[in-house]
Amino acid sequence: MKPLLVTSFFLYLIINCNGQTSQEYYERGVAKVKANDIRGAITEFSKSIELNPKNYTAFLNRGKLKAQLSDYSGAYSDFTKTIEINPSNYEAFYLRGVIKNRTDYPREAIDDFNNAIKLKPNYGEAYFERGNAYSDLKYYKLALPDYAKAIEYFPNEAVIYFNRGLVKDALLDYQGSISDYTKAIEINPKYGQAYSNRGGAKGYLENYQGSIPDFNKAIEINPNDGRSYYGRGLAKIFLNQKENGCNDLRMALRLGNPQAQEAISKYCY
Amino acid sequence: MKKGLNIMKIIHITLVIIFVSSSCGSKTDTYLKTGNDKIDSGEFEAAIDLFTEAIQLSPNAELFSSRGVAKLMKQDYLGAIDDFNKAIELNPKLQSAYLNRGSARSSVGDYHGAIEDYNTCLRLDPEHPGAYTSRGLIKSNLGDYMGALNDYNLAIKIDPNDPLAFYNRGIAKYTLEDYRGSISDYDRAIELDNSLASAFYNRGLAKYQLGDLNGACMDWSKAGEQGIEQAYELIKQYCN
Repeated sequence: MKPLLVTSFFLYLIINCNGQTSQEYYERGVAKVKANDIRGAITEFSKSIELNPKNYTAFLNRGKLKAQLSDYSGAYSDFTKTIEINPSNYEAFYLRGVIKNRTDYPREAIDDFNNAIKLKPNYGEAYFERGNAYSDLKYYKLALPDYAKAIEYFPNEAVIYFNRGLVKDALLDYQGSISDYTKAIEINPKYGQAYSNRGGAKGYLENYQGSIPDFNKAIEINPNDGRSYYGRGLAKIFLNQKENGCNDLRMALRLGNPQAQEAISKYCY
Repeated sequence: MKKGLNIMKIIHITLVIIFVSSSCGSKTDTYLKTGNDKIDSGEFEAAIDLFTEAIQLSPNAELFSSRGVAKLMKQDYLGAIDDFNKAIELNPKLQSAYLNRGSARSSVGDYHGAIEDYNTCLRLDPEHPGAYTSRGLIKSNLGDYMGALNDYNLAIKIDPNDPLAFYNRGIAKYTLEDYRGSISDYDRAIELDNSLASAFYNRGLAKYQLGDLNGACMDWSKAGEQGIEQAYELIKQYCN
């Protein structure tokens, strides 16, 4: 029946009192995002949603902006709404997973990443974040294939190698973690934490001599890195440089490293 | 250590000890029994479907735990841990759920979580030999061989007829360079189960360390016959 069709056509183009459509508000929202007016953009997307509650891209965009403002619960419900309206929107699954990760719900995040990857099998970011979720849960061995997959898509992202290094440390595979930290440093020579962790892994392998230049570099990059002072202090002590090592441990303690006190009472009296 | 021995790796059997919980309640009972039979016959999917059906009718800890075991067997560790968590939530005293979750956690590399589970299991039943053996294995993975040895001792005290406890203690002793002690543990393990091919292989290594090349070669050839391919490489290299 023709009249019905016409009606539904008009429903789509609801016009409010100022004569503006949902789509117009949406476009104004996009313009404000480009102009970096985040709060203004949120208002526009909200108006767009009011006029057309099925506009899932408006929900998706508003969710992203709320997440940017650290309004995680607001972002969460916008991504959920996006998924309700369009269950094949992989980006909404991915972003909601990220929110769950950030708010300490890694197990629930995994379900979202699973859906995102099912919808978009080459979703490198989703593999990376799922790897992080597995790692948070301490399901380390499940994180490894995800990081490997993420590296396939982003071979030059230092943080993926770094995070995989953490997982290998947890699995006591220090040779493996050293090569990941090395790769992270190759990509980003200012990656202080990667130096620090590589020093730590070398320490576990009793390569104290090799660990010291790593801790030096980490401290050079971040002079407040208490962990590196702690690691370097221990390495020096094991290399029979007690006084020097104890100075490092005291520095670590001053910088708030929690393990330093125990090491000082054990080695420095 | 003697030269050349760094190429010889001890074979570790990774134990996945599965203890299906005993059942209770009449209707659940039937489901549990049928489901567990399916697990025994390797039909894990069918078992999972059955347990899921039963859980939908009336959820309880045993059903979740059993479904977890089926998932564990098909190496769905994430799903298995979810189910064991649920089982423990419903019944914090369900010992088998801790034991099996320990096994799942160890499979995904959460060794400290696994140790915690075995500790809980042993608090609930201090006489559980399987939990000691499992905990010992993890300690040995973490490089704590003395701690592992201690756990195997306790397991053997409780059940002196468990070949795997002797086998694993043999490995721990070997790592601690107590070669004679390790040989006598492998002897006992083989006495209890003469199909333990890697016990022959590892006993060969210990004999080699003590300079008993003849004995080593005989053990390796038995290991080879029972399907351990690496044994033939050692034979090629050391036995003529």
